[in-house]
Amino acid sequence: MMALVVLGLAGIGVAGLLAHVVFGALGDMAREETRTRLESIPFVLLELAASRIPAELRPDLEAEWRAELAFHIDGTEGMPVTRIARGIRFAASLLRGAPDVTRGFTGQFRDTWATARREAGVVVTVIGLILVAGGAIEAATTTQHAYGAACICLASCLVMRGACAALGRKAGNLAATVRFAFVCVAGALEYVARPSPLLLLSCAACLLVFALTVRSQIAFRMHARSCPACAGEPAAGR
Amino acid sequence: MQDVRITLALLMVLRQFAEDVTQPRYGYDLMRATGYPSGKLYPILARLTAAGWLTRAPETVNPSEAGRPARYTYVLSTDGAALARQALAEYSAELAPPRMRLAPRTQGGSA
Repeated sequence: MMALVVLGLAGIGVAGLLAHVVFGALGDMAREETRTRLESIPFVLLELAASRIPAELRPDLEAEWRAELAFHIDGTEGMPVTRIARGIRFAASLLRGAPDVTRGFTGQFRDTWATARREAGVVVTVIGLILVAGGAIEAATTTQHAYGAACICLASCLVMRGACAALGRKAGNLAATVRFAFVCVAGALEYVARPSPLLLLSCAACLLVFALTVRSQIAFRMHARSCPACAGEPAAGR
Repeated sequence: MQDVRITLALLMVLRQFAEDVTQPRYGYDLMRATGYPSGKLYPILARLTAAGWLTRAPETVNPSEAGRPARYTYVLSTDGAALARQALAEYSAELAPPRMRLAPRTQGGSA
């Protein structure tokens, strides 16, 4: 009996030792992995910066920036935090300034990300329009108006976001205005089918917000006419 | 040789090159000398290179032998050096502080 207890304790001890070794090794590996990943952040940022440059300029500039980054973090061996911070500062600044580098070389503002955003905007707009049409058909042909209203609201967001991206405009109050307009229409359809005081109240609240948003839009447009600083919305990606 | 829109930051970079017009400079050196971040310095270098004021060329080193990738150097072109000197002289005169009086202006009539 005593021998069994001793054997059991010895087994537990060995298992504990093994677990300690295994978890210690795993911890070291995880630390090493994290360290490597963190050290690669500046290079990832540099790749992203290069992706904003047109293809004809990219290889040359990326080679230069990589060489400078290597030189920039040189001499920081044994100081991993300094190394990463220095690298990130260099690469992040280039990520922000990459379109200006292109403009410096070509004289034109060309940001490949802006082009990608516009293309994505067109796709989102088309998807949104399909959803709007589907929601409208659903609302008109069945009594499930809530579903149609939800579809319309969701799709109107997509349409506005997509259209703004496609046109290179920032989605601002205009998107909110149209969204509230759709909510009002959807709410009215729902009320016609199933009138209830709660729905009437929520509809009235939406209508009020819609009216206030329109009012602020009109006020802004009137102000922008006479204020050169406010005329025109800033282009996306700038 | 194209015209370049002169800004204070661009003049600061030109000043670094004008200290020794034959000395090739690297982006890192210029960042340290001017204190500008990479996102501000490289657009300036791009403008000056595109306008022909600077000449940009890769180093002639073998990366495997040197143990590092080849860096790119920037040096003022012949015309660029003349234009840089002219721009620095013109704008340093414009930015110079007004001549200050050593004595306060006396009120009332002269002695």
